[in-house]
Amino acid sequence: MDNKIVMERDIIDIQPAQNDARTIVRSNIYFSGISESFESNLIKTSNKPFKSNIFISTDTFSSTGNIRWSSLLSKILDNNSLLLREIISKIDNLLLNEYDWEYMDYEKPSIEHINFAKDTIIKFFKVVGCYGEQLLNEPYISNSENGGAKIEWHLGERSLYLRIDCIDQIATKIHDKLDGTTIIEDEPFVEQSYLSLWKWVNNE
Amino acid sequence: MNKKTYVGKDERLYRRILSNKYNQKTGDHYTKDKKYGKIEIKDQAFMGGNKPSVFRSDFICNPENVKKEDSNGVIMIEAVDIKSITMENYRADAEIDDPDNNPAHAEIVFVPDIESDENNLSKSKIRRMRGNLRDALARKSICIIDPNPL
Repeated sequence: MDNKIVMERDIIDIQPAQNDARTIVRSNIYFSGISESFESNLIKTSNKPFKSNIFISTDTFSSTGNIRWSSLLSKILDNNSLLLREIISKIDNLLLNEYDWEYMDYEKPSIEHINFAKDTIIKFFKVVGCYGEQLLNEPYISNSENGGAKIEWHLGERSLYLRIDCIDQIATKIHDKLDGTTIIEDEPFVEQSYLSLWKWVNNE
Repeated sequence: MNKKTYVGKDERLYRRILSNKYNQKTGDHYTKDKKYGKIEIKDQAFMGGNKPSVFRSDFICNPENVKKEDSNGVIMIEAVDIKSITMENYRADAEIDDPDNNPAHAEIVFVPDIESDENNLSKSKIRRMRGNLRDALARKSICIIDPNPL
């Protein structure tokens, strides 16, 4: 039986709720390979229109729902794996781009840099996924200045850009603040910061 | 040394973008939302030269005039949004590079000049800051004339 989860952002339909930090909302989740859909209460942790981090409250499954948290976590990891495969494929494809690198002031992408970028993003997914974070939002992927990959997520007023190659691994945060200023901050993209960066872009 | 002149905060600035179909030099200037067809400008739209050039709405009555080819699109960014961008001790602004002979044209730069010897920034740092600035500009730009084909 095909147990692949189908948890596209369109399918997880989090209803707009009150402005509570944690609000219980009712939503349907459908899994392919499971004969019926079930309903459960989800706890929404922010007021974002979409959310990557979903907690199931264990005492609120309906009679048809028989998936435990551990199972759901494993499904989340499966779902992240599907997304990761797409991302890896897109990073690989950066090698095929034939742009005017001199005009762009970019290094031509190299296998060495691209492979490094792929290894790094796999580690990032592993760390973030292990904390139950679901990476629903497909990032935009492009060549980076040094011949590696640039991976970017945009969530509301926050954007996270990862520039990864063998020489440099930099995370850039761009934040539109309420006072009208836009702050750009660079920091080293190291394993210790993976989770905090993901939480930052999700405004958690 | 001549005093530098910057655009006023109430001005709008225009920049030409290429249709993805005809753009061979750089990555795509924009993406199109699969669901709603909305255009999202990418940093590549600010490629070419170290200081992205823009045209001032005070001198360009019709943004169509920014186009070179029929297929071009035009994006707009508010000067106040450029001036709101900061990174470390630098802020972005739009400098009128030749106020006497070409007042309609401006270049988006960091102030103070990141290439100045006084600031002693490495080449890789300068390159990354330029990339960051393009990213921030892309976020704040909107497409006012769609390229053709989209």
